[in-house]
Amino acid sequence: MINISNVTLSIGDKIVLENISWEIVPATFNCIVGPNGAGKTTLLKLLTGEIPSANGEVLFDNKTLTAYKAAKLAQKRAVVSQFHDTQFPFKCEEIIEMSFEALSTADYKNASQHKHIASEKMRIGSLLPRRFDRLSGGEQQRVMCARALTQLGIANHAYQGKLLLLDEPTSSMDIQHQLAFFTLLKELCSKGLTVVTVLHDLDHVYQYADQVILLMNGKKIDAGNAKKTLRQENIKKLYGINSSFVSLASGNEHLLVHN
Amino acid sequence: MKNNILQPAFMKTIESSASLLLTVVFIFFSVSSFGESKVKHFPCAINGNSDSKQRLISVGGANTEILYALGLGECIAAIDTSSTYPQQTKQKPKVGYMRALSAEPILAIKPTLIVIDEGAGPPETILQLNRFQIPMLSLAATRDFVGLHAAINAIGEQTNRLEQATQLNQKIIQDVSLLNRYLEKNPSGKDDSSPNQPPRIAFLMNLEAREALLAGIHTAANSMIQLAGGENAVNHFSGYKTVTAEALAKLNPDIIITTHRAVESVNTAPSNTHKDIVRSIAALPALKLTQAARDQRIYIFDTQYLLGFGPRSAEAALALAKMIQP
Amino acid sequence: MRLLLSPAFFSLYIALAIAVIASTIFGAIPLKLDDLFFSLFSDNFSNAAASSELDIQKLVLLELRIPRLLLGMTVGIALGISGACFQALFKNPLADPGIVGVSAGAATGAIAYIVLGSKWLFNTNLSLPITAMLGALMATALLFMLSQRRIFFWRTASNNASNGFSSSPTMNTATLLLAGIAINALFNSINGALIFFSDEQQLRELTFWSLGSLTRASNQFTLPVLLFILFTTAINLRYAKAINALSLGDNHAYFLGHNVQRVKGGLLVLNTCAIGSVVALSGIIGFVGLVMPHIARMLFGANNQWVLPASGLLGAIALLLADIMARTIVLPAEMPIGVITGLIGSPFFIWLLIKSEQR
Repeated sequence: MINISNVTLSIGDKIVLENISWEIVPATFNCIVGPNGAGKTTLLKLLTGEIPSANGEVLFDNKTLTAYKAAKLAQKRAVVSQFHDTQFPFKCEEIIEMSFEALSTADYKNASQHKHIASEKMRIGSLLPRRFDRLSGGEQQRVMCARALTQLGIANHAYQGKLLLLDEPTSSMDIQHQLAFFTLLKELCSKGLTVVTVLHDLDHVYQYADQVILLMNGKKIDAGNAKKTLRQENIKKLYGINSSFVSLASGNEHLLVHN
Repeated sequence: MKNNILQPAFMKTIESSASLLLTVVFIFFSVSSFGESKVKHFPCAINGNSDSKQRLISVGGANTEILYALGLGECIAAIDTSSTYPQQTKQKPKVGYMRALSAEPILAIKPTLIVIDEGAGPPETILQLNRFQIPMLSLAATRDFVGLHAAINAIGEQTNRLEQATQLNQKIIQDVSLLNRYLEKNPSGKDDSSPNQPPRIAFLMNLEAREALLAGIHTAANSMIQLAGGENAVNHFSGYKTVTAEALAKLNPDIIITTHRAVESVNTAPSNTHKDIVRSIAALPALKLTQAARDQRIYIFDTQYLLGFGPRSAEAALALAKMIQP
Repeated sequence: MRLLLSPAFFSLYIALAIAVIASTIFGAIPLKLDDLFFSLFSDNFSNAAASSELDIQKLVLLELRIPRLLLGMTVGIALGISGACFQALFKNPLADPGIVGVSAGAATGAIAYIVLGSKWLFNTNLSLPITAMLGALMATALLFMLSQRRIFFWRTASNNASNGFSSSPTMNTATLLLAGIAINALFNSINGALIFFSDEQQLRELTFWSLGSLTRASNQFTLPVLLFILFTTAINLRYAKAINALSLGDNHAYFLGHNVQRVKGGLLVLNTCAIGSVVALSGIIGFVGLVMPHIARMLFGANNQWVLPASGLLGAIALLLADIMARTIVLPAEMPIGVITGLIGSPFFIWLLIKSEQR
């Protein structure tokens, strides 16, 4: 689905990403992991097309991102970025309806249904008539996620070839919403959606991700299957902390970090 | 588009539209109360003359002075803000600044004649007035007596005051000959050492502590200085320019002339005696370094009297000449 | 476009109709509307005694009131809509063209033409509005550069390599207002320099440029500017949804499929030109572009599909009412209309500032 090959990106004198290669397979849940300042958000911005790649290539369905028209791209991928405050008194439903413009003609027919289902899934039905700028950070994140889901045409269940890019989408959500959201993403992935997200909580990565890329100081440390890549020595290398794997009675294995 | 967007907005609109309408209605009535009759009629019955129905609008200080000098003060229905002489002008309705006139209020006065300075505007307003065929006498601001006589004659002709116009011209001619006689008797030499060198004079339109607005050539001040037998200290620029204390010191005029209004803004004199005022002006950093300040040769005039080239100008020039060459 | 016919707008239309009627009726010359109405539509209405009086009334209506009415509406619509669009594009509800210095730039362009341009070769009917547009464009370019640079210092990661999008919440209010002060100061000093070097009589009407007036209703370029404003209005309404997305951030608009560079660039240039041409017509009339979008947002929320047309209508209403006051309160003289909009607008601006502090 996405092919990043030998991408190096410097801003000013500082090299932000150095010789990164990564392949993202369709219908998988991918996580970008690394300490602060590792270049996670920059890598995600390369994928959204916000930052063009100067060296190396970012191919989306075998075409460079710059070859896409914004409107065409918007039909295939949705983004939830890290910051979204506004000085204007938009209502939540207006924020979500902004994504209607991005829908393809086929999806546009059920526009309000996409909105309806997306808000149900994100549990924001009661927030819809309220002002976006007066919500809490977690509520705002849920609204933004609902917008992204609407943009992906959630009611049509046609996720093949569609991509969802998220930058710490759950950082302010409470824990129940976080888990519900990841479960939802997992379900959509199984139906063909490709998800790429920046995440900080290693246990969430361990639980939900199929593939991960570990970044540190702009360099790729490791990449591959999440369960195999999140090894104790890799975590030690990235964060300088210890980790253990704990099995619950249910049989689920969890990743626990500690000093 | 979507009904659910429309609904709450619609409800809110009903609430707010009421207040909006109220505002409109309020303004409606407040305006209607003064919309009509600010324009008073100025009955103009002079000696039971047949032209008692004249309603004049005068734009330009000199024009107003001429109209008053011709005895038409009563017939003036409105003037502009530059018309400040004589005292009676204070009571007249004002049509605003001469370069920012508006057509409709002028039309509402139903003037029989507008005597207007050629520089008045904006041009769109003048065009509109023309389209309404309002009789208009447009006079270029003059800086010599030939032009002044012509203006007086033109106004006299248009207002049926030819006789008075002739008398006024006569008086001005007398004043001019008085001026000339005085200049002959007192040839202007700076001092005995250079008898043919007239004193160098600077006219300051505006005064501040450290700078002043100085009159160059092609100004009314320049003309008056020459009429009074002086020489403008400035000959290197035209119009009015702001100059610093240093530039004034370098110019070093022998005499400084300024206006009452300019003095008002900087005067710190303990009393209102002429001497005190002059002393306080001379002490300003802007003027201190000039010969004029050292000699206390600073003269203060009324702006309109000195610069508004009108019926009093010969008199003003004589007054100035007497100051230059006592 | 269908939105414009929705019931929510009816009260605005009614208010506009009242403002239009009021500004036709009120003025120095009292109009007898009933007689006029008949005389306008029947040629053989001739009551000998009344006819000359009626002719004058007819002239007043056709030559003075209606051109002025049209000018007021044009200027009001342009100020309202472009104000709303500027605020959205700069993502700040205080980004009024007057406050950020675009109007001052336009005035500089116009003054530069009067002082220098008329001596040059090009001297057409449209030179004045075009030079005013150029001046306004310079101010907007400056503001845009300042806003970009701000990002450069603040969040370098997203700026240098990016092609113009920023995910950071762009200029904050303080920076925007400071940039506005700087740009206003720059253009005001250029104006000062131009005036210093000129003896042009027209420049003594400085109050015209700094406080605005609708006296010049019958200019040779009123009609072209009116058409241009109609065009700008149509484009703004056509792109209302894109403006919504842009008001959240350039990156949001890009994610949602809008061609940011083209739409944002086009809208900025177009609205700047609208402000420029309007300043050429009427001078700087402050605060309409700030206040009207705010009232529109109070009525309709933030959605620019509503806010843009509502700001335009409110702008027209406000300007007509302000003009009625301007030309009747100091009869037989006229108050510069900018004095009135300023007296009403600046307390509102202060209130907004206090409100934005509290947030």
